Amino acid sequence: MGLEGKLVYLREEMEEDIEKQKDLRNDLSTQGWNKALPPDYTLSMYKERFEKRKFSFDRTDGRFTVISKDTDEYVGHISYSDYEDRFSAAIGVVIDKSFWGKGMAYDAQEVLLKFLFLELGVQVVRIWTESGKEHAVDLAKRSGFKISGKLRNTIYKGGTIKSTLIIDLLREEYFALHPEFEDKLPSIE
Amino acid sequence: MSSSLFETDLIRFRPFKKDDIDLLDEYLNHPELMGRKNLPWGFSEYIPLSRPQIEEIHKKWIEKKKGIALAIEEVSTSTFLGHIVIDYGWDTLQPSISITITPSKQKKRFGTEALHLGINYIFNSLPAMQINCWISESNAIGLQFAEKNGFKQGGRMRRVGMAQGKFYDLIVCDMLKTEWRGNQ
Repeated sequence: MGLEGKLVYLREEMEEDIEKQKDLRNDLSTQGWNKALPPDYTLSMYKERFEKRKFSFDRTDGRFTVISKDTDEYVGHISYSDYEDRFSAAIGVVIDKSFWGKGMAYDAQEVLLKFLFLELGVQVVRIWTESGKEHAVDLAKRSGFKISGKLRNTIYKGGTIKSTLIIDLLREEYFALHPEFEDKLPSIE
Repeated sequence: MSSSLFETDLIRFRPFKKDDIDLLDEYLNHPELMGRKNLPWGFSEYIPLSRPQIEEIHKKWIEKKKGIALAIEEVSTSTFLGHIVIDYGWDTLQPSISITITPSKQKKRFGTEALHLGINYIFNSLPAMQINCWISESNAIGLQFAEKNGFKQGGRMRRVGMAQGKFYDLIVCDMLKTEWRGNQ
């Protein structure tokens, strides 16, 4: 069984994705982090990043390419990081602008959440974003995430000062929203 | 009054030294500091630390980049009091600060003095717009200390770990540079 949703499926990164990843990173409207500036990433930089990944059974991250089920087109990428064994992970999604507003990001997010909660058995999934990024907050809320914390004046972007939003989804909150799944992992608390 | 960046009449910050390992072994394994040792990422705040782990922490603090990790000592006696960590590894606009004082030296103004020295360093030396700190919800003393010294709570990061059979959250606190200036 693959990582498949209603509109998209997730597969491992391939070399052919690199150019699109680079383009999304160099576009100020699709790259997520002030930290990632300047937008001058090159193909060779992304190739190096791709080739540096090493085989391991102790991975703390996962990076997937989002593909349209209808057309097999590259839609974007979604990842988790900061994975702590069976406990927590943070996720992030980037979608090509031509696919915005079509439910692809939500579908990819739901696929990844199902993987994290049902396969990796995490207790909490987090999203870090910034104030004013309503589409990101709405996308998170649609999957049941809550804004649980805010750090004021942490980000300077687009000429304005913004705050960091700490957004999270607990295991029991996820299963309450998904009665189609039964949580068979015994409570650890 | 001392005019040093890292010294007051009461305390000073100094770099960790090679022969601080024994001192750190005792300090970081003190049972009363469980859950509030402010260790580098990846080290448990609750599990007793082995000698190699202490040495690794010591090395990380000595070699720290994009931030400072310094010992706090009493000026009059040169006695070790604890440590301060300021971290701006993610972004210099938003450094985090943490202070730990050894239990026998707590509630003697050393922590307050160290915090003020740390805050002054950040706002006078870095392009920071705010300072943040992350405190376990079970650390009532730490939360009270932060609030008393001008930090405001901004919610929490839920379920960051487990202690004594329960999940616990981190409370996020921050202080804006404009607030700090207003209190000068």
